[in-house]
Amino acid sequence: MRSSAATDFFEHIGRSVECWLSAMGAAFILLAQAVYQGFTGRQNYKEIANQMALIGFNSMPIVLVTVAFSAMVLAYHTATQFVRFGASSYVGGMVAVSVAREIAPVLTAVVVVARVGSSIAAEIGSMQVTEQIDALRSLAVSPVKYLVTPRLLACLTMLPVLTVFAGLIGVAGGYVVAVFSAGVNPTVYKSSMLSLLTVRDVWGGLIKAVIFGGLIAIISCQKGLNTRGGAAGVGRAITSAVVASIIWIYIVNYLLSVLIFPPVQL
Amino acid sequence: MIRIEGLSKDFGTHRVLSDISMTVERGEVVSIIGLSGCGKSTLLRHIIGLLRPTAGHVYIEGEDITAMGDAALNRVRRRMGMVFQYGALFDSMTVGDNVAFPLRQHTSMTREEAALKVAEKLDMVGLGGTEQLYPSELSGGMQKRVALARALALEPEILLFDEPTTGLDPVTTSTIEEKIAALQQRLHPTMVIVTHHMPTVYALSDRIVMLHEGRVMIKGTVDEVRNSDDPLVQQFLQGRAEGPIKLGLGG
Repeated sequence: MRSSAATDFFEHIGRSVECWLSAMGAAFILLAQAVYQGFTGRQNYKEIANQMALIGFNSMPIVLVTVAFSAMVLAYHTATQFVRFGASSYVGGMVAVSVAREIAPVLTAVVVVARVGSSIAAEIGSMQVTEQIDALRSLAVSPVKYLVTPRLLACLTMLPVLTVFAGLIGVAGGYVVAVFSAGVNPTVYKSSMLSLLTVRDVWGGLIKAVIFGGLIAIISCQKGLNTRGGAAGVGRAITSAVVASIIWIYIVNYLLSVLIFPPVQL
Repeated sequence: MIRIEGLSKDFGTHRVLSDISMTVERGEVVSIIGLSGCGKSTLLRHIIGLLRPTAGHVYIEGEDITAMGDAALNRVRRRMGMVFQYGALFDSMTVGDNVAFPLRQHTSMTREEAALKVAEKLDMVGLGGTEQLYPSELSGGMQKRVALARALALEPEILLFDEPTTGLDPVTTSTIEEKIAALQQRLHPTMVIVTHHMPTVYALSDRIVMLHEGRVMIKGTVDEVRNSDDPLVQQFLQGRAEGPIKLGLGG
């Protein structure tokens, strides 16, 4: 009895790992196809521009609100604690570095997953279950070129743009809270920010944003293209796209943080 | 023009098509009939390369499309048009954009030239002036006619129909049959029609291929099939519940 339960358990683990590896392989193949299609034949610039507007411009308000308030909360807690220990000269730098390295790219990506990744999976998923994807193929149009490549290009370009604006509003929000709510000297805040924030922090955050953009586009498109089973299947595809994207963003964010920002040797 | 040799298709461990061989000559209209779930639509999807067979080959004008890469397959598909069971119109586009879609993708027509072509194709299916409507504003029969207009946009040599009249009222069914017959007389495309609606089959077909449980049960001219003394064929043609075909419907 016990050995049967153990076998079932290991079988379950094996199947999950197989599923996970196969999904990862399929995502890499889709990425390679989308990149190849981006360099061959006539490009659909109108669709690329549409997607850039949808992903970039339309996501701007929610991204700005999310990052501004998160940075304000960070600044509030950092300032109140640092002031207690007489370290208020580090508040500006601490907030700016955190916003540039982590808060702006990660929260922007998570908001874009919720707003855009889910809509990509829903749109492509409903096209899949209503045979519109097959119709595209029957009309000699590659679904990868027509649907995936524009969304990939739009995510790759617009995530860094959103992250830049998110970073600016985050730093501004942090400044307002630290100065007007926690009593940090504005000149000290600014000089701390300028001395601690480096170009590497900014570029590191933007590299993360580009990679997160690629992850969101490919995972959401793949989940949409693999949709089966009508309306319920579309629902499952959306949930799966959001969950998988967020998990991968967190994992990749950790790896990139370690890679781009190694510990300083004293 | 279309030659299928020893085609089999498995989905997992389930064999859907088994050793299918048939030909469709240029300009011929062949109907594929059979019970729901016997593999008719699956066979049609193999003809346009939407599915790859487990075994066997599909030749279009002598070219084996089962061995082709995507680019070569798309070159062949440009000579084909398919009307899907539920139309499969792009629901985010207007009727005009749906019909213009293949023109924009594969030709260098100007906007005005494409608009003229769209109007011509919509007139051909009796839907002139509907360019600005969305698919959701159309009835099922109208959607199928728009799908036909879209399939005709590139003036294909081969037209494939998946259940063109299923689920439609008798008047709409007759209208669609008339449109398809008129199209055949005017442009002489090769047509493969998947259906289990026998009046449509008798009205349009030169030949019939009947599938049963994934195999070719009988193939021949309309008269040959109608006069077959096979009880299974006769049960299907007459739509009788009693006979060798047993459906596992319970009760």
